[in-house]
Amino acid sequence: MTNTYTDDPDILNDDCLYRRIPLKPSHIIFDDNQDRWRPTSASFKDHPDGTPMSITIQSELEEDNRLPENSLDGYDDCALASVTAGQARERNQMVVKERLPEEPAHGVVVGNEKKKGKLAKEAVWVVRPTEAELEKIELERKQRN
Amino acid sequence: MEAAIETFGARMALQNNELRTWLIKIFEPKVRSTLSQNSEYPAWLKTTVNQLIEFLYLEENWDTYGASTTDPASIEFTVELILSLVKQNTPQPWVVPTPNGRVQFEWHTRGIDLEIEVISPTLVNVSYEDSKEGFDDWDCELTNDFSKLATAIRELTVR
Repeated sequence: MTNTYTDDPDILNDDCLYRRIPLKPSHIIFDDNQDRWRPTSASFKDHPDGTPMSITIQSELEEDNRLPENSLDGYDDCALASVTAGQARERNQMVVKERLPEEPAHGVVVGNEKKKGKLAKEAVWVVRPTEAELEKIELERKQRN
Repeated sequence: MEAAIETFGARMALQNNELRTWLIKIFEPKVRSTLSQNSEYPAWLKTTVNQLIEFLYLEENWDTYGASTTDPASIEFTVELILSLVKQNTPQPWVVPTPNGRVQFEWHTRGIDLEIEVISPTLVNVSYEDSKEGFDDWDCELTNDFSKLATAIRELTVR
């Protein structure tokens, strides 16, 4: 799979890569070690059919005068997390543009899936879950009996 | 536990009799008998099992990126593994579904990041990162021999 892709040098290391995170108790975790809520590494995995992990690319969005938040267009109940292309490359990932008719800023992160999952530890919120949503997640975790 | 399983079974009966049969035949007696035989299991176990059951309600594309539904067998493997490894004072893990229909459980506490993706009863992907001096980070696939994982959970439990 990875042989068909080449890292795109036009995507600079400080370019942000955005990933939607469903607002559900099973997809957002509290990391005691970092003292913060963040996406689980399971949110940074390849497609079940083996194709690489999808992202939207900051510079491609900007080229169309779109905002990062536009990555959520058409998707309710999702937060938006971001890592940089440089962070992905530090994990030996390739960052590749892959424009789709429905999302011209679409791209993929190609490489070892286990290392990809570790990007979740570095992910920052662009569209953060609200405090009420996080409280609900914590409550459901503790009281689901 | 029994009540939760029965409730779940009743809900699922409206949708999927086959799955309900599977739950009653395999899952419920296994968990119930194990819990009744060993009172040392942690208080969070019941909650965690119920969280796992909830994953069966996830529909295709639950992550908006084409995720598969959760495989009931993966939940069964995961419960078996949890029951075999945790102690009464092991911290509560986060349990999460993965896009490929499996289940992952993870801890990010006490300076340890431990993630376990259960692929089958004899194949488990593990990632262990430890900020404490003298402890090495490791990633590996474990097959049959889970002693390395047991050591990691023991460290997590006693720290």
